[in-house]
Amino acid sequence: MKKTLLSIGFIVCWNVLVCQDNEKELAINGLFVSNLNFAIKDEKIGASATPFYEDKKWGGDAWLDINAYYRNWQFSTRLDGYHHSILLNPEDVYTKYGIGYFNVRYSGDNFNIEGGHFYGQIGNGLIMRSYRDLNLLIDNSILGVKGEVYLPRNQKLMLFGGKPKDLFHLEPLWNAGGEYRNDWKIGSVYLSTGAGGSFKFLDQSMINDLVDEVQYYFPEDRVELYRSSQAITFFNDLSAGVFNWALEYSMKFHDPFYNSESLRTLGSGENVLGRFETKTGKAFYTQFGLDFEKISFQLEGKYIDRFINKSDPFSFNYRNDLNFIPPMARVQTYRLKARYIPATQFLGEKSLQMGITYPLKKHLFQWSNTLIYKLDNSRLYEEYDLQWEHRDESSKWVGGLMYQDYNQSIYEGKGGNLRIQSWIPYVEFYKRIKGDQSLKIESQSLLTEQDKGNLFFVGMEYALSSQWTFNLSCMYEQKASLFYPSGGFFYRGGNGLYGLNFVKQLEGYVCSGGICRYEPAFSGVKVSVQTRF
Amino acid sequence: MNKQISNLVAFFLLFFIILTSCDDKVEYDLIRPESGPQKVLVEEVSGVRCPNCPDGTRLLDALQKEFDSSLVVVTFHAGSFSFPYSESKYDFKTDQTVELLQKLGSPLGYPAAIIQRTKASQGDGYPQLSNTWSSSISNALSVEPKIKINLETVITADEHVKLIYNLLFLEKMDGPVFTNIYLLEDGLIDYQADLRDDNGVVEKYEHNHVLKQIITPINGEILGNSFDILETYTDSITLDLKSYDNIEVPQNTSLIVFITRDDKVLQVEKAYNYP
Repeated sequence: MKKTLLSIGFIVCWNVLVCQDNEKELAINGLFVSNLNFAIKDEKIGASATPFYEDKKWGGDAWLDINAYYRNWQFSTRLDGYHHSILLNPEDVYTKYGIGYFNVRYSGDNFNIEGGHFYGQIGNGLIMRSYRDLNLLIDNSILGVKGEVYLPRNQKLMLFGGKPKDLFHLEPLWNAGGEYRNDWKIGSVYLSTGAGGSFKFLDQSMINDLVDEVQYYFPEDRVELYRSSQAITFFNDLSAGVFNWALEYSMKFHDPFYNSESLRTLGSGENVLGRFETKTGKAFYTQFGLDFEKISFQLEGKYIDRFINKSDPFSFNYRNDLNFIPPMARVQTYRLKARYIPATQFLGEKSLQMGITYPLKKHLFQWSNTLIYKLDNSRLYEEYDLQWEHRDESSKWVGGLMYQDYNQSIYEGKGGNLRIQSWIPYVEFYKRIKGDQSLKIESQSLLTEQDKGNLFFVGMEYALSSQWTFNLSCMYEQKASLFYPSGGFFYRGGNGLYGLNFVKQLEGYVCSGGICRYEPAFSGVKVSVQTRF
Repeated sequence: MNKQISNLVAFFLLFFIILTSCDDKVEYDLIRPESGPQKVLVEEVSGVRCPNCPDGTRLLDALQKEFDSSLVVVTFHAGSFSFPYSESKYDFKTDQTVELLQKLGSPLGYPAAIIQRTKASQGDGYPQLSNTWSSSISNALSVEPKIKINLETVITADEHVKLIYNLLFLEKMDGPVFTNIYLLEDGLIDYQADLRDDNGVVEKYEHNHVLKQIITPINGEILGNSFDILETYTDSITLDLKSYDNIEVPQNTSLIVFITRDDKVLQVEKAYNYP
């Protein structure tokens, strides 16, 4: 409460000062986003037995962003509110209000400096990426200072230091580092080359917590602990006509992390999975593209060995990641194509993704193929997807077939060697009727004998005008004879987007690092508000 | 161009110097757990569909041996992993365990346990993930006990179990103090998901220290509002184990008594009904 009042006071005082000085140069804008969920208990699909369904019956999240600009200054703050929210833990509810973010930034001719919470990235983000994705409750901003200096000959230096945050508290460590980048060229070959480093300095309380835990390990499992850890990276982006190639190689030293796949001996003589380690980590990422007029090729590769980088070594939550290594599989927009997603395996993974795009008059053919293996060469995930698209002035057809081989044991933390092999045919039709009126119909089937068996999905979206959009969809789970109908509308008016939807959603497991989080089925009404001012 | 390469090299050198100059190893000694007069209640959150939970149970069993029986482990089944398989013989989830989970808060991941009803350091809830159990248990054991509990179980002529519990207050205490009694059962053979099993599910898994009944109200039964140092309190309770539908083998049951104040566990003790 105190923090909220301070924030509001800060904004008001600043406004008064600035308005006295020069009102014309002042600009203020903001964004309000809110999601409300209302529970409709449905035991058949498993939407029950949690505080949200049994007790609270409703919950929501809201974020209010306010930005003010004055000459070279920018002031930003964000007020966060969670009331009986199921975003943090769907099996529980979370209620808290406060300042999620504040930042003051000054931009000069060849430099800028900011204080407060800031976001940033080194290279492609392998050793450091601070960002926010509030719909997943990710905001790993750092509270401290960041500066960027633009040097002659397209050189840039970025330095930062501060404490990473999680929700409304700061983690007990300091994170500091920087990046040097140089954009240069050799003839018609354009390059962007750089290096970066990120250092963590653990607070004594964090060291004590770690020692308290590892001091009970047996001698053969002893862990060397360090007060600080270091991560370095080197990266290069190259572009020459139709050819482009990016690569980054990173290493990490002395960083404590929990290896959930490593065995630890117990006093009973038995062993269990999971122990702390500080072994060196390595990560390599590359992307290669050839973009001809008639056809284009893309190749992406990744190698990860012990590259967990968290602000809290005890945490299993993605919210505490200080870096970002993208999953190798493509982002899927169709519901059933996105049912089995191979999350990045930070402990060890080598993966490859290939893509070919071939346009032919009004047709577009796309082939993509993803292969993901563990470091011991055991297969984690395979995906083969052939897609055809046809466009004319008022309509679009998309059709395709995808084959997936997904290691459920690894990705969902289930024992044994459970694999899901599925075929996913899919089709979409879009038609612009007249003016702003349009209709989109899509359908997919996920055909498999494993897990929940065959799933079928059909969805429709009708835009009546630029303001009103209605949607209706249904999923059918054949093995259990269950239907998951959803429907609702969105209204776009003024500066806002408002939605009201009835949703029934299939449950699923989300696991990371040996710890599983169950995302229960959802049954209820979702109200969304997004408005700018 | 040479200048830019020099800058890049200088940047690398700077990091290399920082890297190699950091000799900040933390010195610590490996120790073995020590037990004392304080005992620790571990409420393990579990579910028959939870593949990571058996590893948590194995860790707790080992810690129990290492801490020389200073740990009192209770496994309660609740949450989304606790829905039984169609082949399951038992449903360990009860209305009481569901209510207990709502009271203590759902974990962010599994294996998870509530240690002495102290808040987890990584969040606001009670459940803690397994990578903090050793230190949390050790910290809880190092506390100077405020209460001593003595338990005695007697089988009466009509084959009821009579539990006599005697409390000795080791310091003056103001404010409401509550007693809590759990009925547990060992040796229940049934299905359990297990990450280590080739099929992912063990058909004949032995479920131990399973919470079957909360004898007192879920928030405990009030003992009193003020106790003097060295004051004693004795009470008893008689249970007809056959009256509980979900008790399979009365000989495998045990009772635990724990005392709470401000929702924190002050002391705990366990007694087998058929020792």
